[in-house]
Amino acid sequence: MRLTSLILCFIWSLACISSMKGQNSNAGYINPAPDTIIPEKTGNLLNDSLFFQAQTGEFIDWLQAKNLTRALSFDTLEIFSDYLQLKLNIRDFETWNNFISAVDTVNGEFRGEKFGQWVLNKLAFLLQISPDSVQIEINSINKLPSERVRVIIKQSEGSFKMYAPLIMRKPIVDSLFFPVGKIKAVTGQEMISADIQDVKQKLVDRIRNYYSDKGVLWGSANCYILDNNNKITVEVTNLKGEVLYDCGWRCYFEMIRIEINLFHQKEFLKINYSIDGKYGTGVFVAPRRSCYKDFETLYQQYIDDYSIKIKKEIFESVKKP
Amino acid sequence: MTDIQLKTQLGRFIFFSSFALFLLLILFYLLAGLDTNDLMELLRILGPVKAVYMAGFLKYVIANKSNPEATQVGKPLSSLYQIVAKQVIYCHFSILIILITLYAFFNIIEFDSLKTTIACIEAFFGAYLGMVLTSLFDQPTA
Repeated sequence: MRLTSLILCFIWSLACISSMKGQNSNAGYINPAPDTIIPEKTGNLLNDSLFFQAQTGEFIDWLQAKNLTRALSFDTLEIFSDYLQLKLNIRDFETWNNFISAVDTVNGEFRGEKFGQWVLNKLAFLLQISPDSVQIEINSINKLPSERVRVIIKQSEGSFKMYAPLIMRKPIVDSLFFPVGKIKAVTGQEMISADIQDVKQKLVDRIRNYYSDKGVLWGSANCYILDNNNKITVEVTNLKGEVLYDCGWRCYFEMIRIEINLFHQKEFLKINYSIDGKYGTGVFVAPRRSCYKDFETLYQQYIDDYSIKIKKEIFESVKKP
Repeated sequence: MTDIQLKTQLGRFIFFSSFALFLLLILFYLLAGLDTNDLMELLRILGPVKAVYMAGFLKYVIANKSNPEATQVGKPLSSLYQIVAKQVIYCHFSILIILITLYAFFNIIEFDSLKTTIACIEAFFGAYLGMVLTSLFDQPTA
């Protein structure tokens, strides 16, 4: 009797919670069909203030994981209706100078504008907002005019801008260059002039095909592709063991985001790309977008390795018909 | 049912379901339903409360090393008292287990909401559980 009532209670709770989830799903969390726009926080950003504040913690964790907190400290996140402004402070002028020197000279891939773009993209990614709607301001807290530093990092209509002291030099971006004559068109013939639409189509098909057989035992991966002029954004969810390939049977759900920009430069086609990812817990059902956690804080090496894999996919998709 | 029988029955339930709850958390961790931070957070929330419940029962067990049902005469309890005492304890543990299972398996709620809900459940049932356990285990047996 007691057991029966417990089972009934369990079933009733399941039914209630499932119906609540169903209502939520209908309200705004519908799995979009392929090719639909990735849901980013839009509209009045003040409505999502709590979410942004919570995600700021993730960003601070990321700063710490990247050892950036030795030079920078978090100040405030100001939320306006149409954009967010993150303010960081420079701990002290000497540390800042050492940091800039290290950024500028030690590692070729890690300097100046590239560094700014990296931080901005990471912040936008964690806040689930377009990089156009976020701005980072780095200020010195030292009042001496000779030691005053102010760096502004932002993106406007897709183009990255960084206002910084001259010491922060030109960007080095992860790119692939293809001589136009070496690119095979969809028809199999070599291209005479770079047809970005053709290349873009090949990239989209290749990526979609790549993820078509990925996923979990009970369902395939969801691959959302946003095609915006010469920029392709791919977001893949509902898959396990793709980035964290050695997870065995204890695999987290993963969300992978790939951004690809195509440019036509004289007789070359330039492809800039970036890869980022998050992981989330769950045995059968993937978490909501806001419940994923950043890969970089714990699994940096995995995402680095994965980027090589994706680079190869991009390379082959352009080279082959 | 006498108070000694009810103490034994409820005490066993609290003891085994507390262990079951912690084993379940570890199982969910092993199945990637929880990550390390989630597990630690849940242990931090549930650990102290469950320790208080267990402490009341263990105190009773230690104070009654011999079989109390054989050596002592229990007081008969009203059926209303029995039902209330049992249901409060059964519901408390069942809801916690169901909630954590639904989170780990189906991500039915966000982790922050889960923590808040557990805190509310602990606060809601904690007061009643405290009253029931105090009336049961802190009263000297007749």
